[in-house]
Amino acid sequence: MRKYIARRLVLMVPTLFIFSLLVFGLLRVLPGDVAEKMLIDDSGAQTASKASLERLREKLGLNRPLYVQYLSWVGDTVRGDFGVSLLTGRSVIQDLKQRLPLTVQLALMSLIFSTCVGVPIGIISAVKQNSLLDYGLRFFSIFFLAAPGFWVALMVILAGAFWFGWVPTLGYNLLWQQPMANLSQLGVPALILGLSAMASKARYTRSSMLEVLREDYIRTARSKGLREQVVIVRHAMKNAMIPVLTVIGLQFGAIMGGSVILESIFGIPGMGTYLITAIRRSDYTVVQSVVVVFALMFMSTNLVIDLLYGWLDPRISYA
Amino acid sequence: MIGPRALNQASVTAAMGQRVARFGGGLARFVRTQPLGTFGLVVCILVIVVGLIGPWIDRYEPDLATPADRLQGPNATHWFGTDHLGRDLYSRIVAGARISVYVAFFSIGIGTTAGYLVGIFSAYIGGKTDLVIQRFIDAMQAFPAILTALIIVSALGAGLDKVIIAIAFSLMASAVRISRGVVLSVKENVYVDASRVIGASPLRIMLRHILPNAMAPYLILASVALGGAILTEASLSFLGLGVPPPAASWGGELSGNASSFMLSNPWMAIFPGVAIMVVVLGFNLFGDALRDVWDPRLRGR
Repeated sequence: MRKYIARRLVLMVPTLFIFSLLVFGLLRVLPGDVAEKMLIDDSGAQTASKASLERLREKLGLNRPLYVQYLSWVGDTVRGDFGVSLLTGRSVIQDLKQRLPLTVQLALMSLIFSTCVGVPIGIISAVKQNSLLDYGLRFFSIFFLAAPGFWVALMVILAGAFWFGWVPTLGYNLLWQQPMANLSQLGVPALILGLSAMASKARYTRSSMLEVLREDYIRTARSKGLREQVVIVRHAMKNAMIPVLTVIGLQFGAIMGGSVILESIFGIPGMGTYLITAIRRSDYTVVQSVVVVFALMFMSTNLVIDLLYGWLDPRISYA
Repeated sequence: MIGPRALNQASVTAAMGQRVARFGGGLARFVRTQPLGTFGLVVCILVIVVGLIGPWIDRYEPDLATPADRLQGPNATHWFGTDHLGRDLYSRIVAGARISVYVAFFSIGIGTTAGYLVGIFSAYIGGKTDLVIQRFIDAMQAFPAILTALIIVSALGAGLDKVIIAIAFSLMASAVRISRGVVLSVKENVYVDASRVIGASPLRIMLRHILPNAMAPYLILASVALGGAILTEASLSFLGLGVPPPAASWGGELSGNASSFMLSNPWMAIFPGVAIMVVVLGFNLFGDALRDVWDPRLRGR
């Protein structure tokens, strides 16, 4: 087991290396570097002289050869130094410390919500296949799979403002500082974020359950007189969950992507708003760091999921 | 007497007739067994047609701003009402259909196809090449697809063609994975060995023998991904990083300035969203039905 984890962690290195190359290469294609954007005056016109542009580029290290820039970025990042924002001059690691908790919390809350609601919906749907309830639940999940999260969010905000005089708060509290305020602030965005993940989990669980319910061992369990409840929970569910786990891992990526969009609607000062602002202003150091952090989060989630397989399915061993 | 040429033509016509009949029969069976998929198919056809003939069925210029008429609810002159600049929402929704369909089909056509071909190549050649390609795919998959599209579009700048490239690129990784898996099993068939024995080139084997036998998963993948591509375009445009204004992209309708006027005219927020949802729903239902029909493992469920 420990060996397996170690091997997986080692395998992450080449992946991250290629990933960093792709990201770096891509970002340097950006038209108009940050130096130009920093010297744009309020009217949006480029008034700075060539010389001052060059001076700024030199100060930011943008005039060095690309491979030197790449190597110094990788070297710094590995040592835990994420650099400073080219635009604000603030340390990226300080910014991340404030923003990461909000995004991780948002993602985890919607992951928990979507799993705790989506999986039971799928199971009920499969057990009562082709009943009215099944059709209703399937329609429900198809609906939320097609509705874009940002639009649902807009509708919720509109409806809240129209009928309840509710507006999403500005300014967010951290969980460990003001737990109640934090949960009530992040609750709605987390629910909306989890909707489409919930829908697709319900669909995968349903089809996986249906497959398992046709297996011989289910018939055996039934014919030896086990109560239906025991058959479903002890025999069917455990096996049906294995493919669903993969989906939960993949969903985490979609949730992260969705959180970037939802954060900007609700004005949550998390990683998403950080990334979008940095992209708009070509703030390379910030974009690079956020992207690497996202990739690390995504990869480690999938590692955890793979380890859970072994726990759910004793046939898989990672000796 | 019938010459060989005429006979040939007659048999070609007959064969074509058979094909048409087979297609018709397949379609009839599809409609009978897949009611939801048929609904999806109808929506797909409808939105494609609207996209094609848009300029003939809109009622105003989609970009024409008439400030005197701004922020109206649905009425007889403006069926879906007007936005904060006084532009006719119905005409903009119609124009948006064209953008959505255009982006979806081109990004799938480029991204999924390219990814699929790379997957075929990777699986058939195998060895070190396969290993290297797969490591690149690992790296690409280490990042959520929508964020990949976001980063690429920010690198390229906003624009219709750039959005297409960004979405296409973000779709490639999963297409490579799926086609690789399919081809690994297809290439074990005896006819692949047979054609290698008679001296067919690898390129010929890949294109003439493996590709046709890996076609069904490709079509399923492409049709399932269409809805996602439309959603991605809408999300990018919503963030202001997609199709730039004043183009009538459905996602763009909901973004930026527009959102501050939604309290005075909620219809501005409702119609574009409903349009996205119905179309994505249609493409998803059709894609799912296609998978049920073609994927033998799921048949009979």
